[in-house]
Amino acid sequence: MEKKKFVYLDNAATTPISSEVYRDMIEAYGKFYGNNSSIYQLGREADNALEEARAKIAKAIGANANEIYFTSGGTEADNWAIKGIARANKNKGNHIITSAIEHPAILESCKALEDEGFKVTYVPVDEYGVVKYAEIIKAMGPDTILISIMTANNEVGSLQPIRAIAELARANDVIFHTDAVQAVGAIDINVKDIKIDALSISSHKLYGPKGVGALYVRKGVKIDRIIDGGSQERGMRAGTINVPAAVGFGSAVERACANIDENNKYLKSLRRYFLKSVSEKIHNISLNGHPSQRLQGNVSISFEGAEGESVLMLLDRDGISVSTGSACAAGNLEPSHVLLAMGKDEDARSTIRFSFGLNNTKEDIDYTVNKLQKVVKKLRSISAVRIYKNKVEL
Amino acid sequence: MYNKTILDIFYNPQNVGVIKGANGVGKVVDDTCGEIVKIYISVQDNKVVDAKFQTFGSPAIIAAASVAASLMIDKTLDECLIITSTQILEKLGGSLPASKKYVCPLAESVVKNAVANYNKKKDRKNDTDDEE
Repeated sequence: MEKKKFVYLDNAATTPISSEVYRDMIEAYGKFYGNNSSIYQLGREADNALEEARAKIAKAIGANANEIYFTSGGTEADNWAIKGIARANKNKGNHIITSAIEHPAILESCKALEDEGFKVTYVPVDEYGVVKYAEIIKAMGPDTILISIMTANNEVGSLQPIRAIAELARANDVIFHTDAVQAVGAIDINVKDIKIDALSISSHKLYGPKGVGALYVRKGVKIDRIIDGGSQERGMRAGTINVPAAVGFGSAVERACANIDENNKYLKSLRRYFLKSVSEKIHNISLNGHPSQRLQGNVSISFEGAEGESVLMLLDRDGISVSTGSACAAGNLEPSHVLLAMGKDEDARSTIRFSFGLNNTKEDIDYTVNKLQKVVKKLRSISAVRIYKNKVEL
Repeated sequence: MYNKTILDIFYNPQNVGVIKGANGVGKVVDDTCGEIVKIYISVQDNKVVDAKFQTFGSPAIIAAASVAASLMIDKTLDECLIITSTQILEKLGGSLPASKKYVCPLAESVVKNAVANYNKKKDRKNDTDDEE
């Protein structure tokens, strides 16, 4: 009998902390316990460590350190960008453009602004999960103040045409924000070169700790604060920053961005190996997302006749962690807003996201595909959806 | 989170499959989640002698359908009609995640559909026999 392994293939949900980051954080927890707002030596030391981390984050995306604000994570950064920019610029207009496939942190923030009287256009995507640029042009109007489009989609991995969108925004004096939570550390991003006005980052997607993230805001962009209190973060974001977590974040982002090409080469080889193996062993599958303009660590596959959550739970029994964007709740009609926006209504319930990380090996993939083949076969044998090669019957 | 009973049933569901020549088939498609459940029954002398199920859906509905099919076996049709979602929930360890509460009523309705389908087929057969 094959020995049970533990294989973590949900790196798009969160990554494990790298050993170097862990080491840096342990050191920081010991040394930098002072409140970085305090003016005595212990406070100054913590503040120096915080500023060092800020500088690393700024450098990784080509920003200036005074344009980086620490947050509690990607969700806060997204909330702040959308609400803070919209509210601060409402004298110029009340229209926001975003896409149908954004993270809930963006979509729900936009919905909250709709309740405040803002108008939001949710631009559609094509079958590959890529935002339709022409639709953004069409949606632009004299009242448009903000465009927010993610850099890379978290469910299907498709890269978005943010360079063109940022150019369009700048040319029309509209602020451009991008949720780059999945992208920083995975692809090269230079905010000055791409003309990005605001960008959200999360630490725990790039081998850093949870509970910390950052928002880049270009100098000169008007943004209101959304967390009131003390004068931390230059008066823009109240609350004492978790310095050891910020140190870990800085360390993680520096390492991730220094090795993007090498890491991508490795992830691409894993992805190819996985796809070749899966397509040889399992029939009636379809691949989601753009074939080339994409994150290399992400594979989204639909298995006809096998429901996603059941696939997930059977793989979990074999020690394999994956995710499905399609967990269905009673009363919630949307299995995955991303797959539905891509027109994949039929496949949305049968989709699994495998997201590879630097800790994965070809042996992990061999083990996973072997188990996956059995799991899909088992579920199809139970399924009320009859699967034949190239044919599906209800 | 699923309790251990549900997971055990999901890992090893009983009565999976199709009964060839089944004299009753219940089918329910859940519009909310797109889940499909079918129960096939073989009835002799007003009693369910065999029941099998097929389902496309989550671990919760696979486990609920497995329990529902098991509960039907060796019961009369009248007894099948009083199988309740509460009974099915009890067999699933008494708890379900909030988002999966709908699976027991769904399984109950498949049971009733299977009996109704049997009765309909029987009535049709009787009508045909009468005509002959």
